[in-house]
Amino acid sequence: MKKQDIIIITSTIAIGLLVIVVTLSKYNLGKVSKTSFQARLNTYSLNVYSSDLNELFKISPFDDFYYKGYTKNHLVERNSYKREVRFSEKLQSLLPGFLKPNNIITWSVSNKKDIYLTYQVTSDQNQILITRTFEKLEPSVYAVGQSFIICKDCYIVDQYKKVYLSQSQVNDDKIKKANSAQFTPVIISQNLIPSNISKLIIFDSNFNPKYSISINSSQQVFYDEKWNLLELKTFINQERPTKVSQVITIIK
Amino acid sequence: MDRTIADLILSSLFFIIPISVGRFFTKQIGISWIFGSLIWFIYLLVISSLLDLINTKTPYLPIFTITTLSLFFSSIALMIYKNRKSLIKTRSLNISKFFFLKTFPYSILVALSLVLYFYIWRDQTPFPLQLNWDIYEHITASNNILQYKLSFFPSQISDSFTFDGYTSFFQLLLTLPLSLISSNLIGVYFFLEYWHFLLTILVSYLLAKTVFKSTAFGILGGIISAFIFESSVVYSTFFLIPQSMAGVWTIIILIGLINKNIHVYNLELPFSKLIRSLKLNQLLIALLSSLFLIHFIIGFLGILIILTFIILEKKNINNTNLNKLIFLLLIALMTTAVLHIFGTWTITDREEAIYFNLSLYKKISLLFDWYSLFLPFFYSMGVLISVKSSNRLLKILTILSLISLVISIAPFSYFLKFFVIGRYLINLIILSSFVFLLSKVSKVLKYFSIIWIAFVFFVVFYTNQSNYKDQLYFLGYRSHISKSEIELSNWLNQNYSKETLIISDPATQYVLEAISGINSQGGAYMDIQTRQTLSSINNLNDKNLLKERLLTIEDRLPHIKKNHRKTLFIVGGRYFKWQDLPNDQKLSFYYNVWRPYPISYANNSYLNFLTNNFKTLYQNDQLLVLEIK
Repeated sequence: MKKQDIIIITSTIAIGLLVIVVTLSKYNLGKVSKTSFQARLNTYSLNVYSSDLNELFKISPFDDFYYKGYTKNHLVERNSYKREVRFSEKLQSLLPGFLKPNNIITWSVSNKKDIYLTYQVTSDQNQILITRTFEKLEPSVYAVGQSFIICKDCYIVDQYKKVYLSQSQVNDDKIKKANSAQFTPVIISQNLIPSNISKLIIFDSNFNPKYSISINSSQQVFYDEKWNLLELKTFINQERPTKVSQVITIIK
Repeated sequence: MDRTIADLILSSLFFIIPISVGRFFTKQIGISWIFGSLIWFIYLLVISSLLDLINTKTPYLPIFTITTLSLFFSSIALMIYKNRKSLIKTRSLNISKFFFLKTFPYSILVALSLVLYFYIWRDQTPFPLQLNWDIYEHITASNNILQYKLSFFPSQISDSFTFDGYTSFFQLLLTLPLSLISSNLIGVYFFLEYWHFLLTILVSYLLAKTVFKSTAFGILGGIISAFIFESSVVYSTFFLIPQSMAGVWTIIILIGLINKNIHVYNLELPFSKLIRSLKLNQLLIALLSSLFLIHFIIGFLGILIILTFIILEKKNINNTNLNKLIFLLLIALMTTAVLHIFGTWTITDREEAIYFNLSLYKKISLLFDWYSLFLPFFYSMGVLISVKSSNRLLKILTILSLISLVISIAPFSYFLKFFVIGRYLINLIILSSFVFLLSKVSKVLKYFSIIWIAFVFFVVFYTNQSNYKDQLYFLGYRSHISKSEIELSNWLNQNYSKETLIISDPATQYVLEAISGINSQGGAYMDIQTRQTLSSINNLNDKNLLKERLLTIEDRLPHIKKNHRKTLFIVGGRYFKWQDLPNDQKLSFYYNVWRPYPISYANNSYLNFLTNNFKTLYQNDQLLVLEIK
């Protein structure tokens, strides 16, 4: 083979490989599709849909909180949001489609200052595990609030068949509906749901069950019906990084 | 399956019917297609005008069909008559090596097109679902041509057109397949876009082969074209719309000029003298007129490109001066880029124009999505090679590619659309880099490199088209429309006629009107008044007020409005999604609900109100049809 041949072929292969690497890094990851649900990573949120593409819930760093002293703060504000793409994610994006893991979404974000957080969604059949890993939370942060924006006009019911309604949003129609569905309406003030529950089930506006969220005994649960925001306040220890997880089960 | 085959055959008539007439004037198939299309447009426009003049009460459609069929079968008969002697002779099947070599490139490219179109592009978009948002207004206009009449401008045919960027030439051509057998254009379009895709590959192959005089590089040229998918604004390959057709026609004419194929076919017919008098320049003028009529703006660039080619080719401009012109255009390219610092300018006063006013970053980003590193690296190399080369034709085509690129990235709204022509020339210059590099290596390495380059382009293509379709996922399919919407459209078509007006959100009525043939006010381009009316009934619980407001909605074209007797209100997931948009977006043409949505839990109570107060005519899992009277 002539020297010229070698140079031209090597250059062609090298440039081709570079194009492939650059192109595949833009391949749209951030999807998990199962028969009972679909999870998709959008620009500012991670959304989970039912099989008929009704939105079940979404999570976002703009809706999560951290607790420090007497203050409760949003993890990330919109104007300081930054998506962090980890090297492992870049490597993963280079794999051909059939080799990519199809049950994981990883989403790393920061507020460009002191909050670095990774959401990881893994799934198995109809169960979703959402793990939030905080890289370097300040020692003074004692709790984090994991928030779910649930479906509009959906109801929250615990394992004792109690339906929780915000005092500010309650009306006769809702109470009547809850009663006719054989549930006990409970009106909550200050958005705080009583602490002796291990599971919350989300029902749609016709009281069809959609999914359930497991609750740890140490967690406090808040529900702001006006914003459809369900928050699980988890008290954390000093170990860093900090991981908090939640299991969601899709009800078929 | 039957309908699939029928629509496949009908789609081929889009080409065959015009070619059947154009062939009498010129031998070259592509040129005869363009010229034949023009003849059909003029012919049917005259028929329509005459009918208008007579003011006859005779329905338009039968006359349209009869005259179309008459002309078509006459031209077939004349062609058979002309070739009667050769048809009578029996021929043995000549599978010679020469025949094989001649058809081999086409076989490769056809096979490639079939795999790319049906197996990859249409992977989750089976017949008759669609990926092209722009087809519905054209289908609506074509349906209206058949129901009412042909007019010169589309805005006179359907109120879905608020701006006449072209004549109704394209919409008229779409009706030609339906002149033989009635069918739904949505299915015909599925195959039409395949033929268009194949055509873009074949013209790229022919252009490359003509310039480089090599079948291998011609095939690579076709492959490159197949793998470049402009996923925004341009849409030259997978989408058959007036602008993409203008792009293909420009290149067909250019190839004809390069090969000196634009001449009259000698016929032994009664009007031979008249036909022979149609010299090159007159035929060329007719072809350029076709370009302009199919799309005013893109056609204008096409004409500019063609005329520039003619001037550069015919005038005694030496290679040195051509090189100077290349340098000037490179400076113009840089100037155009720098101009973005001062801002971008909106050309028309159309509301959506501002959204097509793209920043330089966005344009470069899009070019990068479509070409990856090939454009900056190999196009630059190609321009340099052209300057150093003594190939005059290559220099001229480089100049034309630079003209297109300069105009495409100029800081004005919509200008990126000009890339629909530029892409063929730019691809050719990229190819010239490969030709230069690979012509220096051995034959084995050359073919290996071609395969490798094709593979890399494939990766770019696959990623690009996958990212485009990703946003359209719904219930296992990727499409702008759902099977439930098609089912509803079929039901509407079977049970209602032109006396009915359907009302829904812009996107829903846009697709339903096209597929069912039942009228709406403006489709996706419903006017501000209708948008305000629809917005005002969001969650409205007053039955009488709701009814009163809906009944104020009317078509804007008098000859269509006068037929209106019934009103149907259609709600579904898209409708509720649209109602949830901020008000300024609801009043905008630019914002649409681009894919189907299910009816969400939150809408159940309002649906109950509607079904309790209005008669439900039809319901499926996604849509509800209510009678308003």
